[in-house]
Amino acid sequence: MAVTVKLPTILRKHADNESKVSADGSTLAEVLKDLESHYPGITKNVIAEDGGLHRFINVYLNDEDVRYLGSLETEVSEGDTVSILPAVAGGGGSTTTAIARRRHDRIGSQAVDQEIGDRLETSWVAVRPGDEHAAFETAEDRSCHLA
Amino acid sequence: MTVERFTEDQVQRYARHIILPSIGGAGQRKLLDASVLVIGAGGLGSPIAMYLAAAGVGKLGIVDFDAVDVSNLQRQILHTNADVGRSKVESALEHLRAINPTIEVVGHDALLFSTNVFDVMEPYDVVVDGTDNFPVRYLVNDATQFTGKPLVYGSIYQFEGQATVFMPGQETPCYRCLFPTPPPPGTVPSCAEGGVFGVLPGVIGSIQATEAIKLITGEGDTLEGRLLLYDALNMSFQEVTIRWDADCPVCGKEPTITELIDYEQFCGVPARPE
Repeated sequence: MAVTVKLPTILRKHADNESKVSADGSTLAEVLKDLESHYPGITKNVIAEDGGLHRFINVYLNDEDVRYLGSLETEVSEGDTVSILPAVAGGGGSTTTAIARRRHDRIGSQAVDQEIGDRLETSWVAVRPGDEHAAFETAEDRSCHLA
Repeated sequence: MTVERFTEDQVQRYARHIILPSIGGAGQRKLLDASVLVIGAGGLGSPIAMYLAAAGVGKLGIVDFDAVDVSNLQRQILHTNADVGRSKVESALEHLRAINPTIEVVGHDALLFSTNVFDVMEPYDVVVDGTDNFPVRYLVNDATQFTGKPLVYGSIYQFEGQATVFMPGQETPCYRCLFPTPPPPGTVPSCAEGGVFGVLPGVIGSIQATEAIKLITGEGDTLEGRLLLYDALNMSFQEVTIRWDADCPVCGKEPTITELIDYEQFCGVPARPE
């Protein structure tokens, strides 16, 4: 059963920057497994260590949250759309400017794009789910208060 | 029955609303009698506050703690190059009064914490969230749930945005029904590394202003129960359903969160940056 999986920006780097990809399976778990087999690492922050879905990333079958269907056991049909939706808080404050300046000073504008990709990858991987800390590691982040 | 009449200035200023079906004189009067708190005078807050001021919202509150930086001007269209270094609230008030000098604009030059959020929100009917960080987003969600105020939510990341409306009341969803707790650090990108397409907050903020006006006039269907997703790169909109979660820690059947939380306090970061 082929379904379309819509990817949030943060996961697209695992899938050649595609915003949607096709995956096979008869349940959500199978679809995610198939997705992972084609794009290793892509479901790392969707599925928790206990095998369930993380609570800070939502998954929708068509327009319905799969938690209200059957979670990973939700059955999917040909042509369905699965959407992955992380909580986001973006905008960019003074810290962003500092990062942009450091990057530019060090490597020039040409290489900045790759560096941005590397940094996002690092930040995504670096922290373990279940960590006791909340979303902010530095006081500087607090200064990005308002988009 | 007494009929409150518009002034000549109001008739002229709001003529395009007054002749519009679904707003009309009655809707414009509701806007003039309304009070809205806009949290953040940044990327989202700019279009939100500018459109609400232009629409004649009678009392418009603006919360921000920051100063205008030149890097803000790529998207924060409420401020100009001449405002760099000024307090955002001061800059916002001046520009909003220039757009519409006939409404009351109130500045709250403050960071929001559990200690002040109720006081800041108290005079307002509707709250519009233009923050870009999780601690304030959860604080504002919880405070509006506790005080029974509608919350117009929006958030942006790179080229993608989200918007919805959270209504107080029984068995209506709140932000914690969607995401019960802030994500662990690093599992989702924070503003420090995301970057943002400059026009994006203009789109999402304008949608938030639209929803705030509809909440006030009572016309149309708001985004309550629907999360609107916008992808600027692909120019696509999508909707997903937001359901009330009976297990929600704030608005569920057995709430576990009954008072405000300052999230930065338990992640080892000073609550009040120097």
